[in-house]
Amino acid sequence: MLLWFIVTIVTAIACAALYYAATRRSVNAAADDSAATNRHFQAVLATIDADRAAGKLGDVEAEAAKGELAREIMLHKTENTDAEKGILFGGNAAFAAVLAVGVLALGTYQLVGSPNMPSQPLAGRADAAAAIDIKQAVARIETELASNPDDLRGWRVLAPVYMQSGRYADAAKAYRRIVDLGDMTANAQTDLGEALLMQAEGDASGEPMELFRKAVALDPSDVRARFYIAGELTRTGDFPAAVSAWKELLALSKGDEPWVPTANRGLKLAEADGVVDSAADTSADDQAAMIEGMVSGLATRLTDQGGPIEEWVRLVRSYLVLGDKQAAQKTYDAAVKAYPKTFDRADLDSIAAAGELTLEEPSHDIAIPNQKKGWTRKQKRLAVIAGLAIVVGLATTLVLVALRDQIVFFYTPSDLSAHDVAPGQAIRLGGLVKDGSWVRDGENNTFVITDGGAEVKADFVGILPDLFRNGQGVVAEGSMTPQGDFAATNVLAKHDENYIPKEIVDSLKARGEWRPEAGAAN
Amino acid sequence: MPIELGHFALILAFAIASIAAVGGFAFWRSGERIAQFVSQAAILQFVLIAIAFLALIQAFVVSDFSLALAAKNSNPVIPMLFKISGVWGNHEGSMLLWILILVGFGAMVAAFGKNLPRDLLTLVLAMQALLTASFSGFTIFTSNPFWRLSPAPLQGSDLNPVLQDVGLAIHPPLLYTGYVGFSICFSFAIAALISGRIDGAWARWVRPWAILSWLFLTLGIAMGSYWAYYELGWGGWWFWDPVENASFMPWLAGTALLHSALVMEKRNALKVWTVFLSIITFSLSLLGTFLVRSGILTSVHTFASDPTRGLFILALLALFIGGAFLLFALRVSTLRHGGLFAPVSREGALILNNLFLATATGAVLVGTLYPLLLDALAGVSISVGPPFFNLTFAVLMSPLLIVLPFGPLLAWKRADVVAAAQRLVAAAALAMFLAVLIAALSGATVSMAPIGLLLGFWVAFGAFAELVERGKVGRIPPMDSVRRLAGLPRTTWATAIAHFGVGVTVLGIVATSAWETELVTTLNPGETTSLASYSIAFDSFDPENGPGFTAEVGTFTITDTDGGTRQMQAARRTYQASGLPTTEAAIQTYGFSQLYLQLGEAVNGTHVVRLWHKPYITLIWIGTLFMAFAGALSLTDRRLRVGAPRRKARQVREAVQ
Amino acid sequence: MNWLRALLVMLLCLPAMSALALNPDEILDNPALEARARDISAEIRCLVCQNQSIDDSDADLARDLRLLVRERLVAGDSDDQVRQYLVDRYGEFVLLRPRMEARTILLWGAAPVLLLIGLIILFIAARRRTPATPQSLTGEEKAVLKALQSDKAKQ
Repeated sequence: MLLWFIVTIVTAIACAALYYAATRRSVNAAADDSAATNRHFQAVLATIDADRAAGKLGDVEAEAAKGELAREIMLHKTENTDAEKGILFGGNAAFAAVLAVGVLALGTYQLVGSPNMPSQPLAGRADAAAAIDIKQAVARIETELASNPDDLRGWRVLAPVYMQSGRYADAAKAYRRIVDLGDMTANAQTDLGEALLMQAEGDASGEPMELFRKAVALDPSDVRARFYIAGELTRTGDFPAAVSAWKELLALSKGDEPWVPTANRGLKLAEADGVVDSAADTSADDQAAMIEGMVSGLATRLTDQGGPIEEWVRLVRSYLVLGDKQAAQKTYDAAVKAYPKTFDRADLDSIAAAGELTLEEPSHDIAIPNQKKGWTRKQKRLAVIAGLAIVVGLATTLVLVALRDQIVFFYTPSDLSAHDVAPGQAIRLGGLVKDGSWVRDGENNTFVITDGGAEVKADFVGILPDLFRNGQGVVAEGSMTPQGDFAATNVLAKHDENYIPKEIVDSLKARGEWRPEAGAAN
Repeated sequence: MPIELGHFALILAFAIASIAAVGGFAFWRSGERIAQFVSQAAILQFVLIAIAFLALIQAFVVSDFSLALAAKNSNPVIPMLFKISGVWGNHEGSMLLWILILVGFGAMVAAFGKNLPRDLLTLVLAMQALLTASFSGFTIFTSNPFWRLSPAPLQGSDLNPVLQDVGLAIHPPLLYTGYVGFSICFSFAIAALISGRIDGAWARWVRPWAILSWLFLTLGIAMGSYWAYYELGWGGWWFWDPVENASFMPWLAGTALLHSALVMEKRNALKVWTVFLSIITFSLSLLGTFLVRSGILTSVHTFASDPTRGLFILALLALFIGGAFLLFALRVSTLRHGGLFAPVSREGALILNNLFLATATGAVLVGTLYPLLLDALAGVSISVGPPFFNLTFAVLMSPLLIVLPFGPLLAWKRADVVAAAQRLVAAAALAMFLAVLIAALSGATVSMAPIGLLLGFWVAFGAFAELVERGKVGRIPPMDSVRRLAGLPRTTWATAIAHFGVGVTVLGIVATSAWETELVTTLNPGETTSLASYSIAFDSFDPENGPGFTAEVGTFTITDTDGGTRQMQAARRTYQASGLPTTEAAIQTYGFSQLYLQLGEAVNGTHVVRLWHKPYITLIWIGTLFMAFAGALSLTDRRLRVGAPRRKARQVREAVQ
Repeated sequence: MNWLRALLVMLLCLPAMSALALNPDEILDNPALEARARDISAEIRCLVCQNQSIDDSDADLARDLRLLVRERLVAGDSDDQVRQYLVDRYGEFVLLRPRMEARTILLWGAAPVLLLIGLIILFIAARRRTPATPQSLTGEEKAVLKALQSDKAKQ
């Protein structure tokens, strides 16, 4: 319940903060706004001067830039209002909003949260349970595998445990499953062969031999398989083959591997056609002694200096295989002392349990995560067709449409009558203001633009610049109305007496009306 | 309980974001109050998501395996760094990281946005809130990192060994900061389209975010490339992998965006380009997310393979990308046209730059999606691999690289190309001289190599032409030149350094592609071999153990031409919990070049060693560092920051002298 | 059986084996053929890997394919014949460089076409846009700029 309490308090605080933000008295933000904007314009002006000094703007261009800036400022003034427009976001709306927040949050949490689960940091876990029951653990994994027989990892966990417990038939089944699930490596073949071999109590004839040979074919350096092959050949009395098999095996060694003495003994045996002599027996004792030595060496090192958990595992396993349960138990206890936390002991506990060793601290099973299924081909197609068609098609079409609008075509009145311009499309119209055509009524202006050939009636709401006069050159931005007039949204270029845009000059020249000496005729 | 508190924090953030989005879009004209509301909401979202993220980290650090995510992606024996970075080494956790950065940026806009017009601020934060609500909703309902397990297992699985690396700690956060940073530009673009207002002040806000995001994206991609190079063990640094492409496309578009934003801020021109690119760049970021997480394209990065997630993301994508383009088409005409300029001018050159970058982005997009499309529509499976991308990209980029040094020398509004060309003569001559010299000395059999070198040197040297010009180097006493150069605005320096970085990267790519040498041989302890004037002796081969893995380590001694020796260690590891093997290559750096050694397993009793000499390969990443540094430098230019009048005046006076 | 168990003990410690990309035993004696083999391999996809060529990959299948390529080269096939041989057996998917044919026209053509379209649009737009060359600023504009500058001087 503590959790729900905290959760509610947090929600309340958040909602209160939101409500307060929305309903406290408005700070006068307008002043801040304009100060910042002013600074921005000043910065731009300074940049223009700097660029001109640095040669990045020609003189003429710098003037043009300043003109653009000035127009920007003027337009900004007319546009900017701080009056609150539209639906007012008042106290009621704010209240409704924060209420919605609360409901949505608490409701969703109720739906998806696990409020009653306590945290379980690993260090603090004192799981009380009975002693390890490896059979239960194995049984649990077996049940999972029954419903999910393709879980390779499960089989890989179980198979060595079966081998350890002496359940060779089950081990063989597990390894066979591993091979069936697609593990084509030499290792897998050898593992299966080994399990069958143990099941048959050392008789490797038939399938095990086949498997070992297959393994060797896959990986000529597979020592284990070669070993078993050579051993089986010796056992069945095929001494010539055995000799060459032992020789091939020994060829793989660098001379210092632990299995070499055994292999040598096997070779001698085969060469002697199976006759065992007492000398060979003593070497068996030597062999055993050597193994004991190696194992006890490892044991001494671990007890004196400690070591990684993997080496402890190796040692316990070795003792178990050698049948020395007492030593295994001692080692296990020492390992537990060295790694008192269960999670540090990796696989050691399960191996110890398989060997029927005991432990003071209880521990838990290993969980195997589930695999998720992937997309099927059909679903992939569906998703791709639907999604990409929408996104890409929409995007491309719309972008092309939009970019088309960016190209603003320039027309003179004659052009307009020649081409059909759709009403509403943004264009620029240029020409001369027809003498006497300009009528002003407050902010409403109507005038006629002419280029000597055709005329267009235009209207513009706003303040026209000083130099707009009858008879002057003008370029206006806007669009055609359905009635064939021009609705100007911007009278773009500012002119003095001597300037006329290039297009108009060309157009007038073409008509022979170009009079460079024409002044500010009213 | 911390986990559940974190879970609730995520949900509360989702709720707040949803309401803020709805309220913001409904009441955006309402003035001060709604602005305050969404600002407060933005800050609350950040605080809550941060709490949620911390809760996840805590669970990983103490190995609380009642959290399913920790049980699947962590293990008590791995080092602390990987416990923490394992939080985002998976789908759910990385989604939360993505959202954390998203709300982080939103909170920054809220905190520093006091000077923004109220309606603009409201719209921007409402858009961010909409993004947050959508993606946190997606996370909560389909990819919740807070799912619990009962009974809690005692053993975690493991973090994928390939990801157990310092690179993992840094690469995704850098990359995400880049991706998500562009969401701010996107939100600003949407706000401009809705309100119909876009002016220099708008650009003043967009440009720093564009540069910041671009900077992080550059670093993130470079890091990813270097990490793949040394971690994956086969010496490649760019594979045109779908996920790499998914990060590269926003980078290309982002580069175009930041150049556009620059023009917008200075000359109030290229408005439509800037808005368009803002939308495109973030759309590509989102597309990248979809491509990776849906599992549609196979890649090292695939996390999710659940159909529900894929469809959900698809819907989100259609909503945001489709909606944005629709809005763009409808509203773009309301944007006032900006400053005029002649075709041959700096603005014109930047438009050309945008065109090439956009085309390159398009080509990469087509190449990445083509196999998918063909498979879905025709049932035919083809591969589009590095050969296609290398060819297409190189051909597209070459003209751009040729034109690059001209850009900074052109004047605004109307430029004199001939004058600009005259200032580049020295750079061109030097580049040609060096390229020919190196080609002749090395007897390059690869025909494209000298041309590539020429391009690289041309870009690198040409980048300094403007500095030489502005500093009047050689025409006035050196100390005066130095003073002039020191007084130059930082953006000028940033431009030069960034373009120089591009040249350096090109040189690295050309050098390593053309002159890399390789040796594959059998080698045993005690034997020696040689490659490219280095002698490599195999000293010993020993097993070793590390946290969570066993390894076999080969130790080598390298002797170079001067007789100096160094040791290299290469290894093959097997990770216990997962059983997965990895290769740890050995790398030694000599100057700008590297020796790369990969150790094989013993075959028939001998070891196989694969050795490369990669000349000047580090230049590839050094160039990107220059670019990132330039970005950071540009951000610190006080003239273009909000509200910094005094210093600016002095700088301008100095620049004018 | 003692030695068998002993062996089991020892073998429990042996690590797993794995192969390496491009082993020395694959390298052909003829350097020209080997160079061709490497070039071809760089463009053949490893079918069981994530986006690697057979030249780079450690997988067994990659090794098989590398040997196959060399086999065909030694048998006298041309580069194209070797590629076709692989395509016959594994499909087009195995080629990392898509072949130029009817169904990949869009792919190879995408970049040139996009570039062309872009250039055309820009060209058209450039011709229509004429920068005005105004001379001096209007009185109104001058006043506005002066106000701005005096604002700044006041700060």
